Amino acid sequence: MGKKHIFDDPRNVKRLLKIFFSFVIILLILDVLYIFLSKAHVIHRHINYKWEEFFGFYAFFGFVACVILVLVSKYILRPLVKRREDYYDN
Amino acid sequence: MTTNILPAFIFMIGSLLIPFFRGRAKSIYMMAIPVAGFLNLLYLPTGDHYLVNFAGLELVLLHVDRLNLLFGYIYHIISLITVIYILNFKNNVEYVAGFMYAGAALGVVFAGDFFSFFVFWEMLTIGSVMLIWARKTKSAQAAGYRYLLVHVFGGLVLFSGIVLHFNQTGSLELVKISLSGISSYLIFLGIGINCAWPILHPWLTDAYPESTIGGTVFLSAFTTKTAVYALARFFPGTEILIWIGVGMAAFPIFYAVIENDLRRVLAYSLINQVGFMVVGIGIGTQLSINGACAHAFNDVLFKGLLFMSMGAVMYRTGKIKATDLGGLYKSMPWTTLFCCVGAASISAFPLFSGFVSKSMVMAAAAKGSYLPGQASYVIVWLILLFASAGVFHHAGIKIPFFAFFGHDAGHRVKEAPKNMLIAMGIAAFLCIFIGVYPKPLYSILPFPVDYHPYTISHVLSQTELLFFSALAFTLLLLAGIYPSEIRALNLDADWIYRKLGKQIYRTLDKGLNPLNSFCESIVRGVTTGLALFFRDAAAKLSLFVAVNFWLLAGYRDKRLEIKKNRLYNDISQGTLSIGIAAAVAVSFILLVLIIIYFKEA
Amino acid sequence: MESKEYKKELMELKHDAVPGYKPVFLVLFTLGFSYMAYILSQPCF
Repeated sequence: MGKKHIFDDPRNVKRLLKIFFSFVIILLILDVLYIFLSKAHVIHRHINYKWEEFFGFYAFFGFVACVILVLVSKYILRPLVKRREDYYDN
Repeated sequence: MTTNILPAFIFMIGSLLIPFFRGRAKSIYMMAIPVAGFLNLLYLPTGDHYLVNFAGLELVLLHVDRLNLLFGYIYHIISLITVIYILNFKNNVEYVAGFMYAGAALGVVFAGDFFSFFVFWEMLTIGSVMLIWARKTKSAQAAGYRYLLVHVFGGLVLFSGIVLHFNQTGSLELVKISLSGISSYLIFLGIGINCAWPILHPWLTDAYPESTIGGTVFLSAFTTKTAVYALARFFPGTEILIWIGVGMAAFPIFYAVIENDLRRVLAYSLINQVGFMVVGIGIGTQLSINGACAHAFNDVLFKGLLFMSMGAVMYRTGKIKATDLGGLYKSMPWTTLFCCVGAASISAFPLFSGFVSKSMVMAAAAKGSYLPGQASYVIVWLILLFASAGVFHHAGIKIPFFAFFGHDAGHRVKEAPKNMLIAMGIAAFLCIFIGVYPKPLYSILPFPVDYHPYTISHVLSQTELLFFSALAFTLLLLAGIYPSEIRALNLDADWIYRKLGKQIYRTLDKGLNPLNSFCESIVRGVTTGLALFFRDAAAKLSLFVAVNFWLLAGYRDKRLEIKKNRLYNDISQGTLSIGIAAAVAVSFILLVLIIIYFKEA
Repeated sequence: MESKEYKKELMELKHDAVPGYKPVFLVLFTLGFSYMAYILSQPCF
């Protein structure tokens, strides 16, 4: 194969994961900061619903929504609809 | 300076001349068509043009206003991009069909009356089915045929609706229609089939992934978006559209997670994105309709870009299933980059185009829920938020990850051809440009825009949503829970006509055919029985009479058998001696005379 | 186009678990799910 590519090295994959996980944590910290600043009326916070005032509403919603999406697809939808590739052919 | 050439005609007549050009001139000519069309569009004055009286119908071939100009602009842009993309295919069928199809879409969008609207609507079907058949595989032929049947049916529904509408109102004017009466429902449903509403949708996920590499890019741009335009023109603020749209946004993402064919994943996410637009039209406020139109504009670009990147992968590797792909970032770095831009745009990352349009619909839904009696819009908002997270999950992560990263399938191919890279580059540039600087897009929306996407709360909340969706993907994958990619077929609503229809046919076949053959056997049995009986009836009758005489006369055993055989043969073969025959005849006549005599007496 | 040793098409592409992540995921999901359930049970207006 010759050339080594960036993600052939498992250390690079680990590095990427580390960067990603730290980003996620930074976002949560920013969220806390944002709540404080808007409570102190330093910056205006535009919200549609009271739900959004909770810490990390969007973060947890995104996480839980995607997990539910995948679990439902895998354990409910797939067993119901999966057929062999030539299902319609005969 | 003003012009008033029909935008559709530039494309349609232009397309007919394509086969006459060769080599470089052909490429230049094809790129010149959308450019010329775009220039024409810039100088089109708003209002009605080409008022034609045709068979007593008042036709308006060209109606120009802000709503259809928006669609006109994006159709020209995507036509140019797609044409650049398919320059290396050298397939006249694809070129001509592509331009015919795009021209038909322009015709629908700029039609000023129901009649011409319908005529172009039908042309849309013809152009698109040619693009599917141009793939020339068996499955593409079959899928194209199913596609054609569905759209011909949809066209008929629309047509009957228009005829009834004309019958009631006496006018072909394109007006807002309220859902009441059968004509409005027929028009609504006819448009809905092209819009891929749930249960009516499988033509899309069935046929788009079967089309040619360039054909799919064309297809992704026009049919559904034209239907969105039609809904925005006739049915803005129709409440049921909100719930239809919510269904469209929600259900395809589940299918997209387990689908193996990456172009089919994109087809499902296409329905999901159109769902957002349909919700926007259903809400019917200025903000929501602006959002729907802006999102249609952006979707044409980023969905086209995603289909183009998958097409490039397919062009180089010959594979499109997630099970056969992976690790392509090593050999196709530019395609990878462009695909990621498309993925970021469809997921509505800040600074990418989806961010500035999708949120308008969400904001409109949230605003709507504060109106008295509209608290159920909260559910709409929640489901749309769920769909936003979900779309990132499958279109934003799954597509790039399984094609370009993930498990290395070992393809060592060349980067996509230059023209494909240029086409993808233009689309990617526009996605980022609109995302960073949405003002030009906002200025061409149907209504004045008072919306600011780049507030701190919006940027932070959207980034949180997306990063934690990505976190869910990462953890599910690393924990080994993420569903494996399997070569399989996933049943969808097309099962109704692909399997159930067949099953019904087979049951009827199995139930009715035996009945048929049973009846036949009875009729046959009776007639053959009768025929057999009458064949030697005379001989048997005479034997019956004669044997009694012979027995009286004392014939027994062998001699009786011989006499019986001789008489049977003589009668059945007609070799009875003439004397006996005459005697029988005479005695018969005598018998008749005697009977007549006694009757008279 | 394609290198020789990869002619065979996979029927299934499994994603193997990296040890140690499953408990992390389960804890996070349980927490996240109960937290979301709590938030959404609150009034929104």
